[in-house]
Amino acid sequence: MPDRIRHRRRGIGDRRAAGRGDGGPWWAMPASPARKTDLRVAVAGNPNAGKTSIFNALTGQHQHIGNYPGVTVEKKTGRVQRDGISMEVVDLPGTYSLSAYSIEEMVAREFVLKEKPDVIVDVLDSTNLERHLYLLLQFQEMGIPVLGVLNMSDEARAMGLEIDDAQLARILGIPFVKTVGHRGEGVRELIDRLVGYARGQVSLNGRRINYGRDIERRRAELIEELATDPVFAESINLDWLAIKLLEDDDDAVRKVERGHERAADVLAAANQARRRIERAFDESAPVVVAEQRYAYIHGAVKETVRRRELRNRIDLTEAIDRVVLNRHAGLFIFFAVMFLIYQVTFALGNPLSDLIDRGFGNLAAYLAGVLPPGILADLVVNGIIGGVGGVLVFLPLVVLLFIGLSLLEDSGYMARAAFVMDRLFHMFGMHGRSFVPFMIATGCAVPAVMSARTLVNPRDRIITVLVTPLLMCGAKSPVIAMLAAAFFPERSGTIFWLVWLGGWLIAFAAALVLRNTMFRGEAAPFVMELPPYRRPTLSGAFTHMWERAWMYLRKAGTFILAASVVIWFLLAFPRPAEEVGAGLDRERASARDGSPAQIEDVAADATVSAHVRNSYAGRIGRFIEPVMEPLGFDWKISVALLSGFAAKEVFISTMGIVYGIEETDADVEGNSERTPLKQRLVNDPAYSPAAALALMFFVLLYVPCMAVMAVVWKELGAWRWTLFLAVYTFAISWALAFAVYNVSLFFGLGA
Amino acid sequence: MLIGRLTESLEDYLEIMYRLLQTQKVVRVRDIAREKDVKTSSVVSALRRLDKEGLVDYKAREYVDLTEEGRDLAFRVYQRHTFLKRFLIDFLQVDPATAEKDACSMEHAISLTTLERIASMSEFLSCCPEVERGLVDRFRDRWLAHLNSDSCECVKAAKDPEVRVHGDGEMQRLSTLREGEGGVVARIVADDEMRQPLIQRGVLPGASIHVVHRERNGEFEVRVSGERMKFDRRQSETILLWSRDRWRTGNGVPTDPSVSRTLADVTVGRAFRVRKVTADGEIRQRMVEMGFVRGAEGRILREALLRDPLEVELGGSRLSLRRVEAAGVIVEELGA
Repeated sequence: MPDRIRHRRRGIGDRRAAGRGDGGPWWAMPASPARKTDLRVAVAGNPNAGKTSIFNALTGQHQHIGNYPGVTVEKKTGRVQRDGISMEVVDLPGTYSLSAYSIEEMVAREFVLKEKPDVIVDVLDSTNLERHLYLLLQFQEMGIPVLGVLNMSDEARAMGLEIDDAQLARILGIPFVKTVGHRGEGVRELIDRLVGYARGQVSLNGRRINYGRDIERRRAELIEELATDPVFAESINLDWLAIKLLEDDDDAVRKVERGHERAADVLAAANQARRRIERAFDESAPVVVAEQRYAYIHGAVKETVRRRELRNRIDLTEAIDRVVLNRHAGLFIFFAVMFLIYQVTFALGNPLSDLIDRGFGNLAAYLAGVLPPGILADLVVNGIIGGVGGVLVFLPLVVLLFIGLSLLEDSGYMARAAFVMDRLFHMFGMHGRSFVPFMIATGCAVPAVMSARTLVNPRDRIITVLVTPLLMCGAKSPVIAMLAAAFFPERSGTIFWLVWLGGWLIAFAAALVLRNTMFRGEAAPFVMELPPYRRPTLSGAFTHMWERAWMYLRKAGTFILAASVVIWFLLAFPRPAEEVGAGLDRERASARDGSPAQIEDVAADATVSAHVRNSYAGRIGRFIEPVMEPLGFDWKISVALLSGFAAKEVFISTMGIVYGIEETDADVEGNSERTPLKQRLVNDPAYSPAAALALMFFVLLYVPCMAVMAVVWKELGAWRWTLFLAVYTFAISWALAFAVYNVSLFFGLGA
Repeated sequence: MLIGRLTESLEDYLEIMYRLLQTQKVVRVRDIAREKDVKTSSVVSALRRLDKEGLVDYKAREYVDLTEEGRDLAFRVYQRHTFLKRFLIDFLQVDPATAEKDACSMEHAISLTTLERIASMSEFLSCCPEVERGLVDRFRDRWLAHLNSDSCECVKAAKDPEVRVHGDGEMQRLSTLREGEGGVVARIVADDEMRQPLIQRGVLPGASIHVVHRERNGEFEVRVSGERMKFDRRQSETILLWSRDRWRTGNGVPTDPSVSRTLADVTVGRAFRVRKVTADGEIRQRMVEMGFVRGAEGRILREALLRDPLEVELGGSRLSLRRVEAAGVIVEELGA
């Protein structure tokens, strides 16, 4: 280690000796004795440019995943060491430009402006240089040194494109490196160039694009106007800001409003400049600026890219699209693909989940036997293990779903699926991409909410996140199946299906209502790229999966653990007389060992029931009973519903505790065979089929389980929305259950 | 000399002189000044110019006369005037004062080709035996007075507030469309008072309309041939639209590819060249990023199940966009 440090020091000394004092990156670095960074690199690029593969190839396993401050955009950082140069690499979100319309763009832009990385590595898709150079030009405009990466150079070659990178470098004034990201080709050379830059051997100061006489004159005038506030002028790149003002960029305007002491004059000047451009070109100023950029790029590409016509080359993407996006077949293929992913996930995931569940059950039983009976044992067994188990049970589903989804995303199909589904979702005020969370939510709302990240527009994302938990998920279905089987033995299938359908209809209706009330305004654009089909790499899928799994475990885990302890506390306290409590623990422990029949004893029943009744949960249940009474629910159901917040299927076991019965696995599976709990529910005069029907809808719609709440909080980054979700789902469920209950009573289901 | 060589105003002087000469023996400068409502000095300078062209005989005296060539030109302009005015009044039912004014400006500007076609149309309407007798009368009495008569099927259909018939060849009211849907203006069912503001804003038969947004108060935000407009509820109820296909194939109106249209109106499979992006805000930004700039060429590859969204190839890559977004791009169609 000391060796390395000395080596690095020597490296820096070399560079100093080389005597390039013109703003080399290391000057700006604060001297940090802990970990010295010689070069701060930001990897940028359009979506689908292969940015992630370049980032992974650069940093290998040395990655750290976090968030950009204040927003839920992932920030991946990594480190590279080479020849004594230590680089910190940040992965910027994929964007097409640096306008201020999406969070990703804002994040990328703020990062570049505020953090001022020493170098931007801009990853370009060699098969589509014109579009991708647009972003590169914008970075150059910001005055940041840029290194171009001509990624997917193998594909370009296969398409008959020959790119003269030396010529391109001459035109744009910066070096380019050809790479094949997923194979790691060219990455060594890329690092060499970065090291060369750090040592001052490579210049990355590109040419400044000339927008033509008219625009340049307006820009010069604006810069003059901006420079009247020297403090402001010092803080920002005026060249860039002037162009952005000509482009009528909201964020640039805001920057002037906030920071410039003569803001009104500057903005008036900008307005006038725009009007003049508009008059001169008969086109709005932002479009003129963009057109000039494209004209510049067009010229550069024309001089550097030669296209050989290849004979007999089949356009694979078109061939696949012809089938997959066929007006009629497209929909079926979409459903088939989603069905497949869904089937594989739940076929593989459910046994794994069960395994985890059983493992925790055994652990609990073991600990219950080992630990001295009492409050500690109860906390560990029912609180902590129950909570941790509750988190881990979802893990296989999260992992598998995200493998599947990232394979779809990387192959290019996901954008197509959005294309197929957009019309339907758009009718309900959502975006084509909302279909992913919807499909997943029929299995589990946790990964569904996490997958809503693919929605770029915050409004679409929030709506989708808020309505997907209304769908019937894997945890609600056993509860509803059990109730349907108990109260409607003849028609349980139909009833179940009806409730399932209700979930979909209400979710769509809720989306429509939200869109027309709280989230009004013009729809987010659907103008998006349909990337060419590419073979997804397994390593990419696994990296993606690992990130998601880790995030879920870390963020959701802490929250859920805390919440389960709270729920345990509510159910267990205040303790009844000590000996009764101990007895209860023993009974529970023996029940977990698999001898449930022994506790059919009526006396034990009464004790347990009384205990639950007197617990805080029971008190809350009785307290809210008046609220639930119009729905036909008594305090026992209220307590069970309260516990269902931990996980919806817990409803069943809590009902069991309330009635003093431990559930067997058979019930959880929702067998139609009448189990003691079902029998008791039906026999209890307090419950009617009408109440059961209302209860089914209530369970379907009421406040999502805490795992969902945790990820909603995490994903939307605001407790306001989490709280809103809880309140509005409760309101809907109450209203609907009330309606169902009364209509059912009217039709004579009261008995 | 051909019509159109001189300025409109000079042609008007000739025409006035011709008309005056039909009722009086000689023309005086102040007769012309009175007729054209200008000062005598203006008349004098105009006459000098015409004299130089050899069209009038004016020797700085009180009287003027037309030369042979001037008389010929004046006659032809006057004939056009008479024909066009008659056509406007008789066939189009324009009131005489407006017809006089419009004929006065049309007579100078109209090309011989179009004039010939108008003449043909007039012959057709009055002479062709295949045209049911009284077509013009029906146009006057029933179509123009549309909401006062039930005698015509098309008028009855338009009066029906429920008119929303799906499928090719049927019309839909703009007010029944949802966001993202669109069509081509077939007709506006309203009296002149409501029609004229709409027509003034460019809502003419054949214009494409796409609904961008429906307000709750019944206001419609639309794109009319690419440009953003707002209609109130009453207006949106009066506008009847053809489905796009019917417009292309059914009603016999040839669509010349060089006429600019929005991207939403381009037939699937056809290539196009971008003329202008009329969308604004975020959508314009996205479109520009994706390469929708003047001169860019592309092709509409396909549409999704309910004709929306579209898949477009542009500058070597594939894009998807909704029809209503495509309605914010003006293009020219390049053929298959």
